[in-house]
Amino acid sequence: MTTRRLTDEEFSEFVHAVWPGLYRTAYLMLGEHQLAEDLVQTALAKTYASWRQVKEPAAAPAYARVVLANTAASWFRRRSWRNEHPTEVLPDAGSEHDPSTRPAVVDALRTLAPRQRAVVVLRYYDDLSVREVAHALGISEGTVKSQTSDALARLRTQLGEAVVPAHLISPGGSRD
Amino acid sequence: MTERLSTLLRDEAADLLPPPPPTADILGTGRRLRRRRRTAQVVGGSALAAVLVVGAVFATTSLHDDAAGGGEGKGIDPATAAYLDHGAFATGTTVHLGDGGNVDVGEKVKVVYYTSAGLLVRSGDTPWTDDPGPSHYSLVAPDGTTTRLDLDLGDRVPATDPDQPVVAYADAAGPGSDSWDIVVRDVTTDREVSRTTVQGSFTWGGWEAPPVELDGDLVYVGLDAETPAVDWRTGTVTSTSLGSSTVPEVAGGHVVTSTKSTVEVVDLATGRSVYSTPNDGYPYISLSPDGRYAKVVQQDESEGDSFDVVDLRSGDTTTIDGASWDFGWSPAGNLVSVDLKAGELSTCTAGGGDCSTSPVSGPVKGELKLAGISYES
Repeated sequence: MTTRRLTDEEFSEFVHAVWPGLYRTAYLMLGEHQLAEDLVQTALAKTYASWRQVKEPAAAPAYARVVLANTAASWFRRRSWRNEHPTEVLPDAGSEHDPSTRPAVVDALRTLAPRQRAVVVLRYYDDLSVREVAHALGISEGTVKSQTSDALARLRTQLGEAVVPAHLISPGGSRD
Repeated sequence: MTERLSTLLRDEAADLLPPPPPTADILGTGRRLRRRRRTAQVVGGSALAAVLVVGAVFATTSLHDDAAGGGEGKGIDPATAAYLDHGAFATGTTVHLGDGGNVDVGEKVKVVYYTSAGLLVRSGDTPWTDDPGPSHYSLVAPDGTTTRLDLDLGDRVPATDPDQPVVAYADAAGPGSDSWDIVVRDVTTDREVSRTTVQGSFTWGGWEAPPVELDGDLVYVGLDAETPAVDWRTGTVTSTSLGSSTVPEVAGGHVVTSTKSTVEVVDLATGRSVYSTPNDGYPYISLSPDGRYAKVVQQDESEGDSFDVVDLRSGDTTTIDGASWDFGWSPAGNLVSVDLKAGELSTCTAGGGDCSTSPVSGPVKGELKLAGISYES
């Protein structure tokens, strides 16, 4: 695969390779399967359109993830977002693990503001750094820290001390 | 530490069963986006020009999410957000901005067009488009910064794209000839950036030059015998199947067409029909700026109580209460209407039909002109 001349077959292969991972991130961010599919589809179309910005093939998946996060952020900016997407029902994904704990994490995520939720997913699911999250969402590193702190405080009330220890949350709302 | 939280998230994700990727749709949308993807041209000059260019960058990135660029400049100021969400309208000589601000342009507003740099306001001595002129043009940025362009087009039909900082129009290439220059002008620099000549007679409309439509790189020209497409960046002229003696409704790579029995929305890249409705009810279709949604009005059925908006991607239909003709589009694809008696601006989401209102401020005397509507007669 080259970055300058990409055939449809090559991009199709790329889509099949990254789709599952991006879909999982999108679902955790948005909490709804159809929206997650829509987000990933949009992000990959944008990735295709701006493929020349991909410096090397190995960087393409990370690039697509940034596009996905930034697309989600643009959705969140819309004033109507919260009206369109209020708190939902429990996820319909199956579970083979501890049923008393597993649904709670998705429920807890739903109590967060959209951008807080995105910050948590990108940091603690995708393992992005503060700087990377800031870049992906188009916000400052300070905002990432404060949003993380606020989000963890809220998650702690939902998930408990064992999952989110209190010492992780700084009094000033800033945490790296 | 947060390992437990990470583990919970990964376990949750691991149990998800992602659906198969809609690869063909992704490729199709990607091709359309690639053709439309543009960056605002940064040209030095006055501080005003700099302000306008910044506006262009904001609008471009937020409307179509040129997401993977640098991390800088990804924020969005409230005025631009309001512009994208709520659009704009004019009454008399006053332009009302989405954030409640207003600007007096000193002449009666004829038409308000969306660009990625802000509003292109066409004004003159009367509020009508079919007068001999003058027909002046001003750029009103989302923050209200206004600059008059060196442009007087008279009774002509120009075109803009909410994703680009340009205006396109046709000029006679010579007196009495069947040659037309398709001109594209950067509204942030007030400079011509492209001029391409097309051949063909134009007698079917009463304007001074053929009407044009702009979608991304392509300017569609409504000639008597055909509707050629001009790629204004390359100067390439190609034939289309869009018929003749018409002004095509094109947005986001979609076009509204009709057959004997249907009115349809067609994907220009593939030729595939993405929406079709029988023409028994004399449907009228208006596309959102990004081509994602279609406002569908069954003209012989609607008494003005409601109308449908179709998501062309999912096929979902949303019914919006209100008189269909009162609603225009915002740059971000919301439906916008103005009730001058109530002093309210209504904004409804195309995807869910949720509506909110905000007060209208400033003078409201004169003809109402919703942005994004041509008001051509």
